[in-house]
Amino acid sequence: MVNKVPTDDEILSALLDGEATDFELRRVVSDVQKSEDLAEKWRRYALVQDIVHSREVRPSLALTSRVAEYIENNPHKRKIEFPWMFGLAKLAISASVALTIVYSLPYLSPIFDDTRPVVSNPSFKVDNNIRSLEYLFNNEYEIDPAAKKRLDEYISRINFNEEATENALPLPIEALRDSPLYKLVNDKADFPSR
Amino acid sequence: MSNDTDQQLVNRVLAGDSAAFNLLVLRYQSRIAVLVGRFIFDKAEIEDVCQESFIKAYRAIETFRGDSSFYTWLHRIAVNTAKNYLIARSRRPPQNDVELDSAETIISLLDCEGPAETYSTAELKMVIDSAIAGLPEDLRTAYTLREFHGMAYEDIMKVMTCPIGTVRSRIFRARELIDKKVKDFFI
Repeated sequence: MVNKVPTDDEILSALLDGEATDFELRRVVSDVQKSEDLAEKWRRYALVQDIVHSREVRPSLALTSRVAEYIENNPHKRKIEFPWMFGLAKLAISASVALTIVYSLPYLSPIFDDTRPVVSNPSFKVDNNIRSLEYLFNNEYEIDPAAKKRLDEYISRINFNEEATENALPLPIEALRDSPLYKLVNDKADFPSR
Repeated sequence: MSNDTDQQLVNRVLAGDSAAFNLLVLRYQSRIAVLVGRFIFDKAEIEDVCQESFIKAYRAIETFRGDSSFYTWLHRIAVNTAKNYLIARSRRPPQNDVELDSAETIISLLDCEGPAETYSTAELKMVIDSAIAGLPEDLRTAYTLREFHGMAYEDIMKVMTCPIGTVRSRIFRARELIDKKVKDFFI
């Protein structure tokens, strides 16, 4: 069964009962502005409800559009209870951005001579020169023991199919031979032997 | 349920949709007019004071906390506005003795509704009662459960064992039939 789109009249009826959705409410508020007939219908719906409940009404009175005109010329602006909070928020955001830059820049920029250790070994130095890789090959550095144990266990579970490996197609490495990274890893002249 | 409606509309205004206030004006202008009419007799002045009351309410909408119903809050504003209007008018030197007498008479004539308005309201009530009685049974049942028993759509759905969309549709169609008779009354 296809849900039909409710008409504005139907939405007004639901609104009178407090059963209109927010979406419907937004739509009908907008449409009432454009349609005098719709506005009148809402007025009559409310009038009928008042009379049915024996409320005193003055049905012949219809306010002029002066209130609507006033509202249109003076749209409601939410009052800011604590305007100083906006300044504080801006300051907080600026400070956060500045701190982020200060702490991240050394890792991004090669001009900084950063000696901040990235692993737990206090003697580990990174001098942003690619030659620091030699340290990784030649030195033991401390890593989290639990993590290491899990890594070792994982490696031990890996089984290589030697037959598949032998029969595997050779890797198309010719295109990589000119790569600086390939040369870096494979050129033994730059790295001490292990 | 009228509180839910009013609160929804107030929330829309507070969210920046000022046009939602117009629906509140349309909804309560007839009742506020009666209230103001207890203080002021002249129809044009009633209209002025009513408009001023609604504008004051709109300006002060942020102060409406929902502790009372919106109408109760509006009622207080309208009463104060009407009284202030009378006080301000009584401070103006009267043009003549007749005007002074009129002002004093008006203040003393509380709870007095003009005969013409009473007559038209009673007649309109008869039209509405007749329209309700003439509704098809399903529509009348749904409308009655909603309007006189204050039941939510979900509860009416259970009573009438029909989908909630059908409840909504029946109540709407009932209102449409009543509205047609009311519209003819005003022509």
